This record gives sequence, C-alpha cells and structure tokens, in this order.
Amino acid sequence: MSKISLKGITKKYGKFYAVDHINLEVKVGEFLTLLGPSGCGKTTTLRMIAGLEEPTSGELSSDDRVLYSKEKGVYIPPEQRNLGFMFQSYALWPHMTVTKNITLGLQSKKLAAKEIKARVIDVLEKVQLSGFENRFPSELSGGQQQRVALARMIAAKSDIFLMDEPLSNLDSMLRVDMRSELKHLHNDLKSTTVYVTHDQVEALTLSDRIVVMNEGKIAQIDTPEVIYKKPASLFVAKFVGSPAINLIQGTIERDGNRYYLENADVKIELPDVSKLNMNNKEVIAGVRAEDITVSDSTNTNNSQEFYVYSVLPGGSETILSIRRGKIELLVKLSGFTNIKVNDKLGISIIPEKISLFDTETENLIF
Amino acid sequence: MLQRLNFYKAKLKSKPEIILSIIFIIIFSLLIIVPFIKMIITTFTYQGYDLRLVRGAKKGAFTLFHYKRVFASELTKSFFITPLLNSLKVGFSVTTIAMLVGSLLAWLFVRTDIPFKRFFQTVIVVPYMIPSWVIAIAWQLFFQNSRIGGQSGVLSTFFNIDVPDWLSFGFIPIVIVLSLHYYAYTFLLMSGALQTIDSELEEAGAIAGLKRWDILRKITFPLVLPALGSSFVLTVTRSMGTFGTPAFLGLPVRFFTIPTQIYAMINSRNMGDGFVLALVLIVIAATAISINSKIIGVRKSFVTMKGKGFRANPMKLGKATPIFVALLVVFILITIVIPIVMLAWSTFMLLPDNYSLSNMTNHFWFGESDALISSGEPGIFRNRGILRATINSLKLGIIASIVNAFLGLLIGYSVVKNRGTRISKIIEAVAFAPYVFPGIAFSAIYLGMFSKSFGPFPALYGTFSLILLIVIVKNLPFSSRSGIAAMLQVDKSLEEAASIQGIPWFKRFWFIILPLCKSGFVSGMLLTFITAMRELSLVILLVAPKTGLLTTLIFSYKTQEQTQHVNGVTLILLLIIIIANVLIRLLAKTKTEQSISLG
Repeated sequence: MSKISLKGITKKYGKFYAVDHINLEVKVGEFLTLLGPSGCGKTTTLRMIAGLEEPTSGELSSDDRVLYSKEKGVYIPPEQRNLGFMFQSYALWPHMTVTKNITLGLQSKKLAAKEIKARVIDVLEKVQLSGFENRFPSELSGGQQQRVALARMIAAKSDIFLMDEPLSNLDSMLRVDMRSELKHLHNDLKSTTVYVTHDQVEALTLSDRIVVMNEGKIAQIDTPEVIYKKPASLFVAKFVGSPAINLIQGTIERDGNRYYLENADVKIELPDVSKLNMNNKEVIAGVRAEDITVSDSTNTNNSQEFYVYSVLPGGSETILSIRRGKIELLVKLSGFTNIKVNDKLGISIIPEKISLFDTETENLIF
Repeated sequence: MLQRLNFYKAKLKSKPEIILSIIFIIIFSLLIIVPFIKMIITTFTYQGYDLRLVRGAKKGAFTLFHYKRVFASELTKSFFITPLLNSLKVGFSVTTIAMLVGSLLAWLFVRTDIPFKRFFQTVIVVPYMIPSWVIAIAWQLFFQNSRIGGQSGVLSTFFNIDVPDWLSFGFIPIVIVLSLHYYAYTFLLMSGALQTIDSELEEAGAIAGLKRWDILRKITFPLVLPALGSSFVLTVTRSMGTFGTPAFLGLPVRFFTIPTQIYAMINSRNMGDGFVLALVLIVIAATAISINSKIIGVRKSFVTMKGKGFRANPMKLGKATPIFVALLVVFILITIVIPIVMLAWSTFMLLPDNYSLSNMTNHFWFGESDALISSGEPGIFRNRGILRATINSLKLGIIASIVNAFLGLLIGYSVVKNRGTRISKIIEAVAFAPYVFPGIAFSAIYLGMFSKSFGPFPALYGTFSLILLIVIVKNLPFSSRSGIAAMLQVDKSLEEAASIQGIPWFKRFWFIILPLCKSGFVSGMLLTFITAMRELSLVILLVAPKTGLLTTLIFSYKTQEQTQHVNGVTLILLLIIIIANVLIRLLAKTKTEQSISLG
C-alpha cells in the first residue's frame, strides 16, 4: 500500500505547466526526495501534497483517503490533512517562544495539557534544544531555529513529513551535521517523508528513492545508486553527480568482437553493444570522473594522449581537467597529486562503466 | 454536478480570503461604486433645483443641461474657469513653496548633523496633524482688517497698521496658510526618499573623484528627481482639493476654488452642477495618481532600495550649525508656537480687538450664559453643545479608527492572499477610489442615498451612524494601503505553517497575523483617528444639531463671528489630536512620521 499517491497531478499557471501530469506513489516509511533545478515543479508538487497549493487537475490521496479530486468533489484543506511540513524559511512565529511555537498547533487539537507538556519535553530533547524553551526565535542561531521547526513538526506526531529545502539556509558545515540528524530521526520515527531539494548530494545521502524532476515532469524515479550509475537521460546524468559527468559524442565502430566509440580526437572501448545494432550510428557516451584512470604512458590500447589543462586539489580528492583536441574530461583522483599543468597523460576506462545515450531523444540506451 | 458543488463548497470553506473578497466586493459596490454611479447619473438628469430654470423640464429626465451650463454658457466663467484657475494657482503656488521648505528640511534632517534631530523632527510635522484651517484662524487673528466685517486682527489694533485686503483675505493668505500646512507633507515624502538612497552610491562618486557639489548634482539629485516629481504631483492635487482654508479665507471675499464652489452649489441644492465640478476634481486627482504611479514605477527601476537608510557620517554643518538651529527655532515659533499662544490668549479677551489687561476675562471658558456676550453662548466648560461635540468627535475618532484598522488588515489580507488574481486588483483599486472623491460631493450623495433605507442599511438621515459610515469609507484608501503594506511584511509561510498544524483561520488571524501586524495596525489607527478628528468638508452637510462634531461646531461659530468660541474649541481639538498622538506613540513605539506619510 502506498502512503501518498499522486495521479495525473497537474498545475498550470496560465498556459504554463508548472507540474505536468505527475504520477507518483510514495511507500510507507519511505524517504523520498524530489530533486531538480529551480523551476522544475518540485516545490509546487510538495505544496500540492500539503494542500497549500491547489492542483489544476488530478487526484491526490493518502492511505486510500482521497485528499483532492475535482472529479470526485473532494477538497480537504491543509488544516485537515494531518501532515507535518517544514518550510525553507522555517516559518517560526517570531512573536512566540520556542514552547509556544511547538504548542500552538497541539492546543488547537484539544490535547490534554499534560500530554502537550510531555511532548514538548520529548521533542526538544530529540532535537537537543532542552533549556531553550523560553527563547524567542530571534534569540536562536540559524541551526537552532531549524531544529525548532523540526521539533514543531515532530510534536504533531503525524506520520507524513513534508520538507521544503529545509537545509538550504544553513552554512555548509551545519548542513552536513543536519543531514545526519535527519537521517537518524527518520530511522527513529519511520515517518513517510517527502523531501525537496536542488542539492543532488543531499538527495543521494538522504533518500531511499529519488524523483528527478525537469520542467514539470518526472525524469526518473529510482534508488540513489541507480540514479547515479544508470541515469535515465542526459538531463539526469548531467544534474546528478559532482564533478559533472563526462560526455563524449562519437560513432559506434565495430572492430572484430569489440566495439569502440570514435570521433576525430579519441577512440574509446565500449562494452558489448551488439544487441543495440547501432553500428556506425552517432551516440553520446557518459562516464563519471572517478571511472577514468590516468597513467604516464600512452601504450595501453584504448587510451590516447591527453594534456593537463588545470589541477584542482580539494583535500580528499583532486579533480583534473584534461584535454585532447575538442574533448575535455574531468578525472577524479584521491588525495593530492604531483601531476602539473601541461603534463601529458594517457587514460583508461573500464568499458562496463560507460553509459550510452541516444543523440536524438537523449535517453539512456545502454 | 453535485460533486462539483461539494468541491467548491469545501474549497470556499477553507479559503477565508475568497469569502472576505466576496464580502468586500458587495460592501464596496454599495458604499463606493453605487454612490459614484449616482453622482454621474445626477449630472445627466434634471434635478429639483433645475425645474425653476428650465421650462418643461421633468425631474429625472436625461439632459446635458449641467454640462452645458458648467462648460459652455455665460456662467462658465464664474462656475468653472475662475474656480479652476484659482485652484490651479493655489495648488501650484502652495506646492512650490512647500517643496522648497520641505526638501530643505528633509536634507537638513537626513543628511546633516543638525543637533536635537528627534525633537525638531517631531515638532516640525505638527502642522500636518492639525487641520490647515486652524492656521487660517490664527492668520485672521493677526491680519484681519475691519473692512470686510468681523473684528480686526492684532496688526490693525495693536500696531495700528492698516492691513490691506489682499493680506487679510483671498489668494495670498490662502497660499501662505496652506504652505505652512503642506511643507510637512513634502518634508515627510522627501525625507523618506532621501533615506532610501544608498549612501554607497554617493561614496562611490567621492572615490571616483567627484567634488561634493558634483556628487549632489550628478548623483543625488537625479536619484531623488522621481521622488521630487511624485511629491509635487501629490501636493498639487491635495492642496487643490482642500476645503477648509479657502472656505475660511476665501468665501468672505468671494474667492472661489473648485471645492468651495462645489460647496456653494450643493449648499444651494444645485446638485447637478456641483457634481459636474466634483467630477472635474475626480478626473484631476485620478490623472495625478496615475502619473504618480508611473513616476514611482520609474523610480523603483533605478533607485537601489536597500532600506538600510542613513549615511554613516552625515555632512558636518560646522560653524553654520547655530545659524541653522536659530532659523529652525524662528520657523517653529512663527508657524506653531505663536499661532497657538495667540489662539489661547484671544479666548481670554472680552472684546476681541482689545489687548489691554483690563479686557481679560475667563468668561469664555467658565462663564454662564450672558445675553450681552456672544449671543448668550455659555462658557466652553459650561457649554452642553461643546461637550456633546467633543464626545461625538471622540466617539467618531475612536470607533472609526478601530473599524478602519481592522478593515484595513482584512482588505490587506484578501488582497495579498489573492495576489495576482483579478479580484485582488479590483479590491485594491476600489478601496482606493474614495481618495479621489471630493468630501462635499461624496457626502451630498450619501445624504440623498441614505435618506431612505438602502440595501441592508436603514434610513440614516441625520444620525451619527451616517457620519461614522462616511468617515470609515473615506478613510478606506489609507487603511487599506497600510493594511496591504503590513500584510506584505508577513511571510506567507507563517500562516501556512499554522494551517498545516490544523489551526483554524480565526485563530490564525488572531494569534499570528494580528500580532505580527501590530505596528501597522496601530499606526493605521492613529492615522484614521487624526483624519476623523479634523474632518470638516466630509461631514459638514451631514451633521444635525445632536450629531455636531468639534470641527463643524468651529465652522458654525465661525460663521456667527464668535471668535473666542472658535479659538477655544479649536484649542480643545488641537489638544485632543496631540494627546492621541503622544499616547499612541508611547503605546506602539511607532513613528508618527511613518504612519502620517501614508496619508
């Protein structure tokens, strides 16, 4: 059974489709991330699930309870959907203390005072803010405000959490900490979570499944590993992964039992693509920076001589930008390196690590 | 079909902003749009007044008679051309003087290190809080001569100077008096504009090697030019449309501006012609507003609005400081202190033109009715009429300010929540429409409309409710503006967070939106209170003996030449406005200047 179900959900602004007939099933207890560039419709989708935005058409349900359907005449306002939502801006009420921020919603649910008190103590402990009960939001740091918002959401004890880029306002150190907190919390509470972000690292680290969105449509739904290793389209390939995936356009050439990708500058061995039946056809090959190895010599079969354009050490890893003719590749090495600008290098790629995309449809073909 | 209905019912129930919008559209139609349409219809039909003039005319029949008479007849000159020219002359002269004084003051307070800034700034906007005709009354104390009737002023009795007519009534005194009122308005607008200019722009000029004068000429001036233009347009229209001062200083010598001409026509029940002139004023005001919003639009595009305000190191006045301070003190003495002191003094004089000590009396404050003095009118503290007017004015001010502040917020809520939809634009525009209606004409329409029961309203003729209603409607432009501004400050996610938590709308409004809008709410209240207290032209046709207000009482004492009572009641009015101001300031810790500049 799916916890949240979207059928043909669409949001139009005038003639522009912000969200274009999306079908999506969120499983019980799953951590699902909506990932995409700004304007891809991910936040709109989340807000429609919450009821803060009204779909133009489609049906939305949760636990087989219809939340929204024009056809069936159902409109459940956000107040009655019983979900938790975390805003990018945290949306803490600035004129209320931490405690009041947490309890206001609980009080209007007519919970017993004792129960409310217990919950406040419990959630503040969970987010490590015990002792901050009487502070106002303006007296807290960004990270603390973030955790108050989290506490407020948890306190309502709903089994669905919706989060709209909750970490984007934090500095990078804090963001890494909070990722771990969120993951731990999800493990703890097992709430079904829909999480929106444009940060692909965040999506990869946190999610059970990722929904990559582009121009209001779903580009791919899968586990982080598949999304990373076998992106369904050039768009997904380019959007996920840092540094960006290397893309090389060329024709498939057969040489005995082996297949190669060839263009004016390089010749790269491909896996066995006989069943594609695309000899002499144009394709785009994608290969991750960490799947390329470099060597001093140029005597291996499927490697040609590249020169080093720039060296970008980053501590745990070093990114090399290497060039040959019109081809530019990024290569990831671990740690630091002695390689210098203008050094000559050979490359090798394990054929099985290469993905192939159609030049016309830009979809994954192998 | 049924499912569709259920869907919209559920949706409507959870969207208070839509329900509010529908309510506002109904109310606005009844109270703003219908009156406006009635006004237009009146101009195109024969009225009771016209039946004597046109043979065979039928009341209510279509005619272009009014337009012909106002715009193309032998009466055109006295009905239209002369008042229009007078209004334009007054408007442009007042604006020129007010702009010069106001801009200079704004520069002094925003960009220099003049001492006692807060004190001076507070005192200098006082003339804008009191009705401009209070200054007119003070003017007459000094400059009235005995030729045109009434008592003579200080100059002619004390110094035995023969005050020429042009200094005592008509164009010159009107311009001076209105300038003394409107400089504070341009000051507020200009200092607002000067504060939004990022001082880094000027510093960048200094680093690029520009001299101080060149920075002023090539950077600062072009940046404030749109604000100057906008202040100019707004001040011209406002001073053209003002009623009290031209009525006090112009009517005795038959110097008519458009508002006083409208008053004269409507007072003699010539509605048709009066409303044609009212439409002229409406067209002028509407044009000015659209010009203004174009200017502001341009300004937004190139002034960097950072809202961080003041330059870190203001210009040093150095040795010139005492000169500027002295000038300011003299200015305040002449424009504020002396007029008020004179008003107070004159209320203790038995004969209005005898300044000797033996003439001093407290009769006008405490005396009982004496048939020999001011037609037997009892002293101010014993006078039931004055007490009633004070209570009425306070009641009007308090109720209207609370109602308007709430309405303003609710309008702001539905405009901001529906932002981007047509309904939001309509509500915003219609709520602003009463701004362009001349008070006299607006009240004349209400008088006709509410003489019988109308829509959900009972007949309100001669009641306090009618006065309250029109004051509330006339103040909607300001309260909706401040409501919208306040609502825009509240991030929408703050309410969304509450609705996700299952908090119903009423609670959201009360516990979240209202507290967050508190300062806008309070300043909106203050603004309505002050305008309600000083309202004259809007209510003058509507008051009955029992529903008189302080302002209308002053007006009627004035027409009866009861100088001491005029001045005494004026002092009471001033005192109430100033106390209210101080009180709200203390309560809300908001700057009056900010709330006032909206008006």
